[in-house]
Amino acid sequence: MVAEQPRWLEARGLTKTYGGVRALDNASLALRPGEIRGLVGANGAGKSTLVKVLTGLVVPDAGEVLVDGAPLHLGRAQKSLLAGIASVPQELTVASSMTVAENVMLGHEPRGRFGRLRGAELRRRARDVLDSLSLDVDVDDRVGTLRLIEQRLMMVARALSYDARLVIFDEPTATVAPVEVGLVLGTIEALRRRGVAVLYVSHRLDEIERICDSVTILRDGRVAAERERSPTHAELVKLLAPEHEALERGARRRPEIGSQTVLAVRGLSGERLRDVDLVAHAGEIVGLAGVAGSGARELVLTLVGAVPYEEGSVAIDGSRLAPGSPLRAVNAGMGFLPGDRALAVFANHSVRHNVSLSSLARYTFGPFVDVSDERALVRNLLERVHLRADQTAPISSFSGGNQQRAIVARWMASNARVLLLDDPTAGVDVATRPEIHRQILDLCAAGAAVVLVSTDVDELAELSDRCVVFDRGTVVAELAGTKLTPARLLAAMTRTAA
Amino acid sequence: MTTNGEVAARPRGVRLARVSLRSAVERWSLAIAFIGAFAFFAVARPNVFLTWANARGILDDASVLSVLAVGVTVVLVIGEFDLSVGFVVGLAAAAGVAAMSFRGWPWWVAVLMALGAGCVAGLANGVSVAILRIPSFIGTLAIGSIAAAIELAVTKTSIFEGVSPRYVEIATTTIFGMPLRPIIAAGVALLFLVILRTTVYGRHASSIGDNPAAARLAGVPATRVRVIAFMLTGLTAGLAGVFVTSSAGSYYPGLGTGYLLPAYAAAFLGLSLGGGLRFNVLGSYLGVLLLGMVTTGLTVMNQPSWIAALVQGLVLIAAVAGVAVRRRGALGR
Repeated sequence: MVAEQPRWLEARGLTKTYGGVRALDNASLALRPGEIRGLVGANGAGKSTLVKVLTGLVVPDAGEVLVDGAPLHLGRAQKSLLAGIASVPQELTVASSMTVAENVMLGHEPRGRFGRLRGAELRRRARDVLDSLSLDVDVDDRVGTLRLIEQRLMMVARALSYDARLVIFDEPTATVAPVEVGLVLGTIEALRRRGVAVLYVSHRLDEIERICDSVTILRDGRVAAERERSPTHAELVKLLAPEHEALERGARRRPEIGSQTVLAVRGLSGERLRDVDLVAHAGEIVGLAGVAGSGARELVLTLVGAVPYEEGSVAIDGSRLAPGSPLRAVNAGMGFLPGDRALAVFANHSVRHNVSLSSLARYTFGPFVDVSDERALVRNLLERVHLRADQTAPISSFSGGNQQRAIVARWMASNARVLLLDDPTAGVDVATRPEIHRQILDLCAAGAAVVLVSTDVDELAELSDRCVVFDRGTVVAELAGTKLTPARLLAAMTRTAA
Repeated sequence: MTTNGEVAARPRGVRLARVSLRSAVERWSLAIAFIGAFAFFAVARPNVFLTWANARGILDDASVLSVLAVGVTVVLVIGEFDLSVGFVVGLAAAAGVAAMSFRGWPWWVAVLMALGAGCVAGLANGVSVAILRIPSFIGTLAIGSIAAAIELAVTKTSIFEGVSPRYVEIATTTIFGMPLRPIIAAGVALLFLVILRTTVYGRHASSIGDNPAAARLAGVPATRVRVIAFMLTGLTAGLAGVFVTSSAGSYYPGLGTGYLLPAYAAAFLGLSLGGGLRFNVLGSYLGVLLLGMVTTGLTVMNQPSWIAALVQGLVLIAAVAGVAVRRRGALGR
């Protein structure tokens, strides 16, 4: 039925380069009215760039978007909205102290003479939109009092109030409880009935299988495959992670994993975590896998003390750690290595100061820093991480990969027992990646336990000794040995728990 | 090929030389302005400006402000503001003089009372910012208002004297012809310079100022460092209160007003000293002396007093705009 309708939106040959990296490479997309299109691909495959081009947030280097055959003025968010392209962002952007009606009609409130706000008309139009989505909320309620899922669906209503013909969803169910996923999918069905097209960006492949009419798969900015019918979950996994056993896990030399438990997490619960157990031994790399909002990254942030927990316990070498204090976590032997270097690097400081900051207590006399001791120790560590550099040079003059080396050295200096790595190779170029991987292995060899969060299944499968899969704040699977392959990881990560 | 290489190399060398000269000028612009202003007034009014008495007068006049500017540098280093300093000067002054004229306590107790009042106000600022998480801009303003209220409650807006002669000697004593107050002020500047540059505390403070989130995740005791920073600033405000009242020989209402803006002006002037674009004690100290010298120099040249305020404002805008441009350049690279 859908297939007979003409294509009203066509994007052709979209190309966008960011500083040498092709985010989009000649990508094309065509949609029919009422079509629900799944958009899938690994992180960095170009999904969000494509979405940003369509919504007018990014001007492509090449290519065009046609709406009803007429070219769309690219790079103007207002033009995209007027052409009927609206999006529901991953992050909520609501004005929580305003009413539902005001939020739904935000930015195009009906006006009377002299700019007077027509309140009755505003409420009536908001109610119409909400009704058409079968959303049962009062237009006069303050948005802050609604449940999160209702706030999210209200964002759909806002998109629709612009007479949208295409609504783009970016990971709409990432942080939604299982029972509420049906509400989101029901809303999408309601859009289809109204003849509105949907572009559904998600890592949850089973949802794609359930609701999408067709699927576009992006890889390295290119359209790698397009399916007119929605493929099954298993087919999607195969398309996304072609089975390559050539990673040669056995080829790398790993010392025996010690039997000594370094990190013990028991029954940890908090705002985004439910009853998590995790153990890591000396010399072991434990991978944490999961899509955005699954709890993998949240666990690491909780362990480092950036986020407090409510129940359960965390212990390093048998001694318990109080929640919510990075200071105590670091003193107990925790080290945090984020891929987002803005969370680790002191840009105005020298390499030496960056390396020594977490271990200053080791070289002092009285309240003073013993600079000669400090210099010697930092020299030693920089050699160990293979960073040949003047210690006094500002760290901002180094490449991202070398900055990361300095941060590795910081935790070597503090003799960290547990290293928490949060996407350590995010934004690092291909050549530096293996180097950082080797440093992670070196840290293990020194007897530390490593907990690795990554959005990259290849990286997880390659480095981890064991991989724990998270969904909605809790552990849903554990893979190790020959079962630990990128494809199996992806399959486990992307299946919505019943 | 060789020719190409040489041709390519030459302009590059020239460019490098030009860039390094430019960066040296930028780095030392404050010192250059200082020397330039000195030379200008020395040439214009040699027999008045170029005298030992004039130099001594500038340093003595600048002692209150230099202590305060050095103090606010500490909170600026951790990336916060302390807008209570003027009020705290008044509170500390009242506490010190009240101890002597109401109670008849000796001069050194009065000094301790003033310093203690500054410390307590700093603690209150630190708690409101570091523990109650109130933005420092508003939190320190609120604490300043409370400090002013206590000052009024104690003094009931009256002038009172009864200051012990030993207390007045703080302002009148000279060592080798130099008054005591600028010597103490220079000593405080040196002490704070040492604290910020060579201690673990100083390292922690500047890491918080650079990147607070990263400092916390690296295990820096951020709360403690912040509270101590505000206490150090409060301490300097207390000392400034002692300086003002020992010189006046009495307490008078509103003596702390008018210090806040020039103290920050000096610290922002000091931002341009050195290559790091960071707040630094030496820069703040030189900033105060530059502002003081300009004011005195223009007075010596018989210019009306509004000219001095105008020039101070223009100098400050030029310095901060220069820093902003350099910062943008650094980010662009």
